[in-house]
Amino acid sequence: MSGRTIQVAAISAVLAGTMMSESLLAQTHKEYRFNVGPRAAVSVNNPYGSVSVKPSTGNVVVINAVLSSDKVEVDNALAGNRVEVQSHLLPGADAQSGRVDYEILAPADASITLHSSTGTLHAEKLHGDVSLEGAAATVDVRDITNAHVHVKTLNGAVTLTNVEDGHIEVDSLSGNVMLRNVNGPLVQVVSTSGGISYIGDFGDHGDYRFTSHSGDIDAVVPDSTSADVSARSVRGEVHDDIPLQPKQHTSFVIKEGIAFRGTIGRAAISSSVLLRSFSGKIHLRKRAAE
Amino acid sequence: MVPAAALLLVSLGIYLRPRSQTSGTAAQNVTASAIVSDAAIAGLNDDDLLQEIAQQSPALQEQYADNLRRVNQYIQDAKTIVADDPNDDEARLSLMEAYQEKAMLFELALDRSLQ
Repeated sequence: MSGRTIQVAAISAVLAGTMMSESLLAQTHKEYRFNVGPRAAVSVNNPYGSVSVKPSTGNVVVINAVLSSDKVEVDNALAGNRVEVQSHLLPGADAQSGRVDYEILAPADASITLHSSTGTLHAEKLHGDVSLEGAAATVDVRDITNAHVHVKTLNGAVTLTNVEDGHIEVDSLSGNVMLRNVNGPLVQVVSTSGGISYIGDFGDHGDYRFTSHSGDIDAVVPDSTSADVSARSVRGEVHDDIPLQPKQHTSFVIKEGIAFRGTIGRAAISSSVLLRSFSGKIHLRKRAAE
Repeated sequence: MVPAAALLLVSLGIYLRPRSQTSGTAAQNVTASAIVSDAAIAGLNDDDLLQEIAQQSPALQEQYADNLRRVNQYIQDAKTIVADDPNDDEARLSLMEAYQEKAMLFELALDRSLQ
């Protein structure tokens, strides 16, 4: 390496370091604390950036915000038992300079409403209702019990893990939706072109409806599953690797390869499962023994 | 746009509900093309949506256009199935869901335009 090359590399490194320092210096950390009552509500509207919510200890909401620049402010208010947070974009703000990343601690019984166009929306270990909405936002929800979970995305991927006894409604136009160990009285996923994957046992006495226009639907269940399963793809294919007890009556014509209907396990305690696609493939299979 | 999307769903609901209650009647012969006029009445205009996105978030215009194309195809396909078999309850539900997806697209677009 010539001396000139070393000199250029050194100058570049110094410049890069300076730019990084300026970037870090432009970041601002802010913390807000609110004392709330039982079953409080927390609402965050964040155009650019991530929002993560975890349980706090006690009836307190703690909001840690990292602001990317002085082009954005955090407006916050406590109205009754409701905490409202809004990232307020100032003139000239864009997706980078207007970014705010939030880490929020809230009582586990609080109901949470999060909006973000980009970034990740994350909620875990809560038992209040959770509503997450964003265009390109990636959604990750885990360890939620006995709650309503509503998710809407344009193309952001959605992952729900360990959601017990939930009323779950997921709408995603083109994002893929993954559900792991998710059960409850209502589990509904609608997608236009995203794929839907379910790994779990469909609980008992629940109503499971997975619909995608052109995305594939894949359900993987253990041996212990009891479910009344109906699957239909108008122009795609359906495959079931699990022996089903056939049903006497169906609301549509069963044609091999594009539809099936039957019962897995014990019908008396089974959930109702409807898998439906227009042109995607549907596959119901048994989970491999571990 | 959201009121327009809501109006669309209400009118679609009004359209689908009587159909489900009058199975086996002449009402079944009404083709799904009638639903198209519901959309027109509601004032849902794809061009307006894309113009709004172009002004507010040009970088996302292609994403919205792509999703709009897909959801319109979803609606068309769902309408075809309903027309083929008006007794197919699941097909009618699927059509409703297709319109809900489109309404959500408008809702998300409006959320962006308000930011």
